[in-house]
Order: sequence, then structure tokens, then C-alpha cells
Amino acid sequence: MSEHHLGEELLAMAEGGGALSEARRHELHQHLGSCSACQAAVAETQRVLAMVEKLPSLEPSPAFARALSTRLDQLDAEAEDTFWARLKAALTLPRLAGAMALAAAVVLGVLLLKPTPEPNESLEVLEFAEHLELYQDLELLEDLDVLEDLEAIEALEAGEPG
Amino acid sequence: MEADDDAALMATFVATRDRRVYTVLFDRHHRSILRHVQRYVREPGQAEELTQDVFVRVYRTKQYEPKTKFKTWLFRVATNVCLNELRRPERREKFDVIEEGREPKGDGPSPEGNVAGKELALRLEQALAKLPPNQRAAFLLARQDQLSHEEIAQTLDTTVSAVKSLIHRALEALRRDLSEVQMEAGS
Repeated sequence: MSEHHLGEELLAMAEGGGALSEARRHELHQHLGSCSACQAAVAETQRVLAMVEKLPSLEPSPAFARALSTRLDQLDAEAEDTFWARLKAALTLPRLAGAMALAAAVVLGVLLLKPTPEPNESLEVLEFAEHLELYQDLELLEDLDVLEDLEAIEALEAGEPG
Repeated sequence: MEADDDAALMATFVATRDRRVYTVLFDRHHRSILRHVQRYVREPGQAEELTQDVFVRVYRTKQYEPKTKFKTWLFRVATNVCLNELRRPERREKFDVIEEGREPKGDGPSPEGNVAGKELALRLEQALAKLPPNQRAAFLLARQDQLSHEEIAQTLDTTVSAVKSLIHRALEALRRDLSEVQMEAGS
């Protein structure tokens, strides 16, 4: 059989040997010159290849592209439906209430945990000391002494011992 | 192997979902994919349906990295779709049978009135149908689609040496079948 001679190089030789190295092509050409079985195999292969090239191929029917387009439209519609269905499912009343409660809890938590500035007590004391004389000069403060005297007078009037 | 313009278009489509970009790719490749699917599934309606499945898969693709030629990637998607279909037991018998006495379609290799040529064309179709799907696909991807051995290896998820072997065995089987026809005609 010829394939014992050419093996997988039969196809390359049937195509003219262009895919082979020059040395190998030369070697196989010499073999072909003296081997009628390989000559026949190359000729048969060339005939098969020529027939394959003329093989008719299936042309798509006129409805082919339209049918595909319809399927793609359906896919798009399904994808859109799925999106709205998910959104709708996510917005049911219990879930919505739960989400609002969670949001409220988060806001409350943030407010409670927010660090409040510590009043600077030492500054307040210093400020008070600075204005201490002023406070002592106020008539109101002086009147407070009068109020204490009034309490003593009221006690005397009630007959209590002083 | 380098990515190409179509691979860039596919990446654009995946990013934008722009149907016009998809249509460009479809217009460029649907015929060759239909022909490829026909190598596995000979019934025209079924071949069209599977070709649609291929392009639906393309449409639904969410992640795409243009590392290889788009055509190679697409042929691989098509091959997977076909092989999945052929693995379904209820389909297996239905697809790979070519009807006896069926006339070759279109303006094939048989000139009008050339009985021997018609017979050869019919026998070629029958011989192709008898080949295992991967042999037939490897052989025809090389002969009709001019894919390189490396591209066919990627398409069929195999090695380059396996592709060479598939093509060689396919060619031997075809040559053997067709030489029998000649011998029958000569006797």
C-alpha cells in the first residue's frame, strides 16, 4: 500500500509538496518517480481534494436570520422580566419594613456612637476666675446678702430665737 | 496565535451589548458556522437550529478574552454545541445517516448527464458521512475553511499531531471508498 511509503506526507505531496522542506520534497519526488503505487495514491488524493472543493454547502434559509433575531428578542425580554421580577420581589411590604427598620437602627447607632466634644472644664473655671471681681460688684450679688438678712428678720418676727 | 478585528468586536459587544456589533459578527460568520455544523448534522433544519444555538451562546457570552482568533473561538463553540447534540442518544442515529440514493445538492461536482460524476459526488457525501465526526470536521476545516492545524487543534480541543492524524485517516478512508466506486464502475 502506498501509505507505507508516504504516510501523512501523502497529502502534502498531493498539494505539490509546498508544506515540506525542499530536501524532503526532493526525496519524495525521487521516490514517486520509481513507485507506481505512490503515484496512484497521490493522483487519487488529488482527485478527492478536487471533489471536496466542489462540495455544495448548505445555504441558510430566508427564515434563518429572522428566527435567530426572534430568539434574541425573547432572551432580552426574559432578562428584563427577570430584572423587574427581582426588583418587585425585593420590594414586598415585610422586606421593605425590615429594610426601613434596619436603616433607622443604623442611623440611630451612628448618632449615639458619634463622639461628643468634652467640655473643657479648666477653661471654664479660668474664665470664671477672670470675671470674679465683676461678679462680686454686681448689685444682684449684694442683694443676695440682703436676702439672707431678710430671712433672719422673718425668723425674729416669728418669735424664733436668733 | 493573535487576536483579530473580530475578536476586538466581540469584546466590544460583551462590554456594550450593542446588537449592531453582534450583527456584524453574525453576518460575517454564520455561513461558515452553518457549513461546519452541517459536518456533524446533515439534516438542514437541524443544522440551522444548532447554528442558531451557537449564535445564541455567542449572544449570551458574559466574559470574553480576545486571546485567539475570533473564528477559532467561534468554531470551537460550534463544535461543542454539535458534539453535545450528537451525544444525546435519541439524536445519534437520526443525524449521521445519509439517505441512500439522495441526490447531491446545488451545483456540486456532477455535471448534468455525467452519471459517473454524480455517482462519485454522492459516494463522496456518503463517505464523508461515514467518517467519525472529528475526522470529518478536522478534514473539512482544513480543506474548506483553510484553518491551520493549530487552529483546528484549538477548535477540536486536541493536539496538532492528533489533527494531522485525523486528517490523514479521513483522507485515506475517502480515497479507499472512492477507489471502490471506480472499481465497481470499471467491473
